[in-house]
Amino acid sequence: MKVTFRVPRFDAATDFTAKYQIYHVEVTPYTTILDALNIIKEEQDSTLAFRRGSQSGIDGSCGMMVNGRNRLASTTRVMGLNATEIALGPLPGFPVIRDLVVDFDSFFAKDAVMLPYLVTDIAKPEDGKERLQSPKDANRIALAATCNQCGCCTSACPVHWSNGEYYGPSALTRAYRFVEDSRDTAIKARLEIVGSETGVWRCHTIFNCSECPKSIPNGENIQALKRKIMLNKIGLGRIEVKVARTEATV
Amino acid sequence: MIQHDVIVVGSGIAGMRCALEIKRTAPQANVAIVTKQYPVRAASVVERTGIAAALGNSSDDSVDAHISDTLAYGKSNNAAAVKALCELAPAAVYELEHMGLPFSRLKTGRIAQQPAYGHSQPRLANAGDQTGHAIVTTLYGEVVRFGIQVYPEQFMLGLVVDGKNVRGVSVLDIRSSEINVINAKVTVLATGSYGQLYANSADSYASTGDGHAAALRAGINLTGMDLVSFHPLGVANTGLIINERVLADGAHLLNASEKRFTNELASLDVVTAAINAEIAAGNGVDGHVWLDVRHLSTSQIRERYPHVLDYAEDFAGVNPKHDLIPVKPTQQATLGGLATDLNGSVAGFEGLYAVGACANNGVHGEQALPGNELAAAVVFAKLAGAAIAAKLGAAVYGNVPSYATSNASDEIEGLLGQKGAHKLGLVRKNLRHAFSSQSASNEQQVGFVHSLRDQFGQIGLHDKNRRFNTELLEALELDRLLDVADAVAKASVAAL
Repeated sequence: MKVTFRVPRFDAATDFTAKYQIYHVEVTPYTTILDALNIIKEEQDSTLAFRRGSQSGIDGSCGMMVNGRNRLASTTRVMGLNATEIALGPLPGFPVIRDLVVDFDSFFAKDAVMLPYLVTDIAKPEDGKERLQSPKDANRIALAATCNQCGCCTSACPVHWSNGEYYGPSALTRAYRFVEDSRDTAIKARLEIVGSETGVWRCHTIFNCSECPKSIPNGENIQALKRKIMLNKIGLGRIEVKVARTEATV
Repeated sequence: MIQHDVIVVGSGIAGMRCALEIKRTAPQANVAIVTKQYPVRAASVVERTGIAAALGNSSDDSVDAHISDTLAYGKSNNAAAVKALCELAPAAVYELEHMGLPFSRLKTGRIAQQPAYGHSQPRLANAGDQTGHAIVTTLYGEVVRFGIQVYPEQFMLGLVVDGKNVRGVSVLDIRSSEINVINAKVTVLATGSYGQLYANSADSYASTGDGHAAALRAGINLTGMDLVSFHPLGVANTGLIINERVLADGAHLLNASEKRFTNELASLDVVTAAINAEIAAGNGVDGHVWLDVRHLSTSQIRERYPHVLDYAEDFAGVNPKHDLIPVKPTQQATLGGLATDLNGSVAGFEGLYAVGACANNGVHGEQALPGNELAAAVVFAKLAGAAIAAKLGAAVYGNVPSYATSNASDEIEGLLGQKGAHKLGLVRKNLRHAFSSQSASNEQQVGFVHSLRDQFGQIGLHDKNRRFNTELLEALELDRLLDVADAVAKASVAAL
């Protein structure tokens, strides 16, 4: 089947607006958007710029807009879109470097603000072995931990479009993953960070971010963080209880 | 010129683990990581199976059992490396847990241990079926915690060598095409595999053997380059691997007439050969065969190998409950690399270390036992980090020869100016097809690589823009992959 691709060409150094270019690609039922881009680059136009990585959607390199929705090019089959014309675009809300390539520097800087590592008062077991965690507690963070930081969620957020300072759903899901981790005890510091001026209260519950390539409910995670902040404000928080539960569950 | 005590090239599991160990042991050390991607996108994320370690959480496992399984599987392993790996793997896994890695758990709260092919005991610690990704993300968190500087989207052009002293690396800033030399007391190559040499590969697009090629160009020999393993269950058209546990659980392989043609419970290399033979005999469908999991319960699939559902839907557009999944053998691991001792030190060169998939200390023998690659990446990267930290006090910055920058810029300007008739994409495609699993004989490969090297000299580059020039990047990668291809083909001939 022949499919038409409409791709914006843009160089931030020289261009004010994008020019659109049309490519025609013969696809099979197995051809992904990334395959099609590779075909274009190999056979038609080697100057087209895009990123690619694991080819399996696990590294998050190839996030882009596909017919109006943010997706990973490597895990989106062309025929699965049921369209003969496909409009591609760079992830909106991020500075475009060139064509489909956007600048992730501020995205990763926000991730670093979230203290994306375990902070805990729970001592390591004396035998040097693992800290215990129940399967139930492990499952609480398992899905959020699969986030590949492709940026599809943050890029889909209208609040992020208008306020670049907003941490955005990806960074907040990262915070959520540690807040929910039964081994982490820095919940107070974490809630302070996500509860700040540029944190969860910027979220207007639009839920574009929950259309995640990894099926992570980012919007729901943000609301869970809001609830935790409020419960702690009125003295019903479970910060202390969490530590006790870790020891009691196992 | 930028200066760092240690420059680590590559932000995968081995690279980050090594940098962290240096920083933890010698906090005053100025360590930096340079990577051609963003660190969380490193090729290590594609490793979906678990990390092998005899924790004994699910059975009476022992280090000795892990050692004997590894030796039986790899056949010609370096026994001292195997001993170190199996003895240190449990502590390495506990360390990852202490860093917060989200391991799957048993009811007891301990780290779960999955059975795997070639292991006599359930031994793989896993984070769902995205263990590589979980390790990368966890280590990256530690890199942030320790404030280790990372230079993203910088392509390593080569090692800066003065005689037998390695003085750092030259890099290309992908966003601006500017060239920089990073001067370091110690240089660590952690550049991963050369899986992209193969048409069907489970590896990332980034796995182009950059470190291998840099070594060759600096006059450093590579060993074991012919040791490349294939897996029978690559999803056709992508090369992504379906966990072989489906075969043990009763999945069938079917040919074009939907009949079984082999014993699915045989060893993986036997199954791989059987599929290749079936396809070669014309009994395949468009160069693949079918994997049938329709009779397995969906809940079992979801629990044990959920990626089967994703892969079938995302890449083949089928529902494994009702449809057959197209599969064919795919390149899984490359074991060749710079010969190192157990501390990652490269003999004959001062100030150079290699860790992870670009290093070869012989621990895997002829083929890597599942889960041992991840274990080796963390275990030996840590040993290397400790060894580097211990030596750093006495190390000094050497002179950077002036040709380091001029050689690098000559290469870039030369490529950008090339106006030949051959197409970059086509040369790359032909190279990868020559190394697919049903490829030509090894002697033919040597000649073919030579003719492709000639063609590469006559490619034309159309993208003259210096901003994020992915055509230039691809040309640089292909140039290096051709060097690696030559080494692989020659090693294969020598091994006959």
